[in-house]
Amino acid sequence: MNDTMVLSNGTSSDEYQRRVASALAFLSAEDREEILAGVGEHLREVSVEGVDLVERLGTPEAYARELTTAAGLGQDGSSRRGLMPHNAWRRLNDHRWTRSVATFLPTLRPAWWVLRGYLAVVVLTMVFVSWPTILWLVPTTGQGPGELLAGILLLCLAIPLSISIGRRTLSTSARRAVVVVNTVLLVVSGYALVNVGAVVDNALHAYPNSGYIPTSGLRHNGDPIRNITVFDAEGNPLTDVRLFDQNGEPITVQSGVQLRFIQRSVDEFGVESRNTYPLVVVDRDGEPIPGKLISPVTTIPALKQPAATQDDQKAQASDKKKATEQKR
Amino acid sequence: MDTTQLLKGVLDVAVLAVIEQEDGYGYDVVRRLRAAGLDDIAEASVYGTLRRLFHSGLLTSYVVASDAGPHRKYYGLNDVGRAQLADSAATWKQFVKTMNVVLTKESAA
Repeated sequence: MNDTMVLSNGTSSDEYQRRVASALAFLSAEDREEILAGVGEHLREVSVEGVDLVERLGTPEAYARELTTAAGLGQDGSSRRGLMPHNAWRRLNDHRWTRSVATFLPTLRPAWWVLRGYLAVVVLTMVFVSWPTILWLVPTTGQGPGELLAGILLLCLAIPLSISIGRRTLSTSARRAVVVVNTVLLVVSGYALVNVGAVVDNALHAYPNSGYIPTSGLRHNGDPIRNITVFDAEGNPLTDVRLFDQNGEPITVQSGVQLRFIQRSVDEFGVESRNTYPLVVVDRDGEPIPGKLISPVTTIPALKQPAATQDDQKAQASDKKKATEQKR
Repeated sequence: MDTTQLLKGVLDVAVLAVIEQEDGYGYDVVRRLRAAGLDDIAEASVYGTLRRLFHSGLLTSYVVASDAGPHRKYYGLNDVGRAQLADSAATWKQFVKTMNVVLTKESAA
């Protein structure tokens, strides 16, 4: 009331404007300057008409409130400043670094779409094998050219699909589903790639040109030996030959055929031997497959002691000796 | 009924309509609205509305030097503003029509 009286008694437009300015203190300097320029113009126009400012426009505070409300800058609106928690959050959001990161991150989205397509193929290979092979950066189920080609084809499908999903505007429920799928892809493929990493390293060090993953087993000039065929002195093929190394350990090969398709050899004690050659490949019913070396499921004699073998050799040697003596 | 409450809801379209007739500066818009019959208009809110419409991209703005006194900031409609005005005017006319039907039924009942 007091204010009104004072103002009514010939308050200058300068005084009125000063009080509007102080009522606009909550605004940013930029907004306030711009608004006050308009206020100055307004007050001059009204002053020229020779009417009392407060009578015509209300108190400077009411004027400021009216103006900012109409301008969408109300005090409970976006330009408010204070020490409340949400203002701290806002200040963080307004910070130069936060803003530069926030504007930079969206530019990486296409790269993420490509990566997501790749990870989807990694996870897909795990449906077929427990650990995917990464061959020339292509996630595959194995090292063969067919598997490599399949991997490349899958990438050619998955990456464009992922990109098209990324570019599309999705409904809220669809977006939620995408977030779930993304999380699963990241977790599963991350787990897979951490495990596959060591294998790829080994492969590259051992066979940099082939990308082949070395395995234990018998090799000839670096190629895995899959089967062994044995002939006697007359050239007759031998079957059920068992091989042992210098330590008496059975010599086995990586046949490349699943065990259930290899004919089983069981000795008289029911112990299966896996070092009986040649290996015979059978079909699902256990029937030997024509074209392979064929022999029936055999019962093979228990092994004699190595000492006995040496005795045999001695005996053979003495036989030879006798033979030469007889010739003489 | 207090017309100032009604006016708040339609001040945007009123300001746009005035500027469509002819470009104008803040006080010029106030004067033309008053002359059109909106005596109760809150002048400060016209300035606030002009600023908001300008920042929303509905208005163009240019400064004109005046012979007697300071420069004046003129506002004009751009295409967005014109489209907004057409839309708002149609909404308003439909609203008035509906209100008339409602009020007619009220008095008939």
